[in-house]
Amino acid sequence: MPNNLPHDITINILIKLPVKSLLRFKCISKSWRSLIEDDTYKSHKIFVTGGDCDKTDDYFYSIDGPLQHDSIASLLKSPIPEITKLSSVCFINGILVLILPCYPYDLVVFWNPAISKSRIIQCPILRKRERTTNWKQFHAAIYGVGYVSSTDDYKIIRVGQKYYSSYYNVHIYSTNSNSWKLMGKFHPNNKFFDGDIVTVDGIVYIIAITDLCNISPNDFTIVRFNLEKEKFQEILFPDRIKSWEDPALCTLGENLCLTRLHNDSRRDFEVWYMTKNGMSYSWSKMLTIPSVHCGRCLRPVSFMIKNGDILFLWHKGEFVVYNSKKHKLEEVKVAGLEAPLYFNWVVPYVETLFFPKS
Amino acid sequence: MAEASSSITEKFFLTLKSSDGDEFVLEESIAIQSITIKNMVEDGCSSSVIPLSKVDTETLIKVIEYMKMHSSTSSNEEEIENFDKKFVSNSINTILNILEAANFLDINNLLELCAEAVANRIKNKTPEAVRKIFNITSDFTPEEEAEIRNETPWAFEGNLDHSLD
Repeated sequence: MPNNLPHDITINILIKLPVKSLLRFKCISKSWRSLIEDDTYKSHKIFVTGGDCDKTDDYFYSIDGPLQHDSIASLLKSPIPEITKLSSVCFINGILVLILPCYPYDLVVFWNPAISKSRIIQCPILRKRERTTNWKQFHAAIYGVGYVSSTDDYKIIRVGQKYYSSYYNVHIYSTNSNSWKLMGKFHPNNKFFDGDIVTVDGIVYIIAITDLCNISPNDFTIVRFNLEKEKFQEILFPDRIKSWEDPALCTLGENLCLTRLHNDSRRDFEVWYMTKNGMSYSWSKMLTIPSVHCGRCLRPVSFMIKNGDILFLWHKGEFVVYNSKKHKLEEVKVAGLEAPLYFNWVVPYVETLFFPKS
Repeated sequence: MAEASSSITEKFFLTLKSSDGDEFVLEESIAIQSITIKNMVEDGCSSSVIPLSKVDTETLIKVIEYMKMHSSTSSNEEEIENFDKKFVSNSINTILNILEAANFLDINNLLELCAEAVANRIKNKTPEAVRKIFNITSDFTPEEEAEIRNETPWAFEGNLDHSLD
């Protein structure tokens, strides 16, 4: 039985734990709490892409672990010669994975900014040019990326339309097989935005109008897609999710979260999280912010490790936390992000020395 | 065959002594995966027995097993991978002992392997189970602990693991 494990060994273990475990282990002892809050969280960063408008990702930043106010952002050297609009950014298995829409082939970029290592692979599918009309309002295709540890495979899911008002095809790409496979279709009534697709633990969650269930074509449902078994399944939410509620998915501390507006007249903003207990799921409400009015202007990013507050991105432009005592949103200043930029992708990641073998 | 063996460079051996007093003879080329031992060899302190006062016999046997498998002369990649998988299936207390030894002996790969294994084993555990495994007594008052739990109640929900291994 180890007695008083040296601090550097404990830190070495703690930096390999997910945020949810860290928040739980803060109550183990005072010494563990300070190791977690002061040392471990240093390797937790936030990856941010910024652009002069919300159609481009011109700059890449890394923000130091948002454990307190006055974090610092530093500019990262991009692994891609010419950055355009990114279709997806995920942190999986110790690396950032970026999807870059390119003609004729989309590019997948594996990147570890901590060790400046990257690899670019082409997805061998001829893509249709993105539709540029209504481009600002929704995406012609959305992407999710996940890692299947049992087969050491990165899988990409693409939900995209060939022609206007046609069904959305759901394709899955595997880096092992280097090919795309058609998995299913989604209803043409869908309009996809950021936050309609999220990957947690090898499961892709998509919020969509589907033919899977008998609901009105204006109601949303959440569909889960198991990347390992390559199967769809519907997930139930406590009540019906209506289109005016502006629902969006995100991950917070390894949990799937859903944000939406509630109460047609007051338009409160709600954050729900899902817990998995074996095969069953349950949803709980984490936070309600009264009278926000717009569902997509607040995007949950991560947790402040000191007190468990949720850090939000507000209108793609600034970081805020909700002060529930004063009932107001308070800005979290980030030095180094001075210019009036739009932040399109905001993805928490952990610095590692890992890079996948080719 | 005799000619072939004569062309092989001479092998040097070191003797490692555990905290229980047991001695193990090991090829120098294998033992210097430990930076601590390597430094001792370079400083010329290795002519006699190297005492490892912080490593007990049971742990030292495991560490030597690991160093032999990972020395460049033997084993292919797949063998090493399978060995590592089996290695981390030891009890969590054994792995913590090896982790401490790897830290003292400065064997970086072994340290990473064990830290990763411990993290994987404890990530879904309850704080109570982790306290027992690490032999920690909480110094929070019940009120302080309740306050931390109330900050993020969802982090304490779900299918948590109470087991001590």
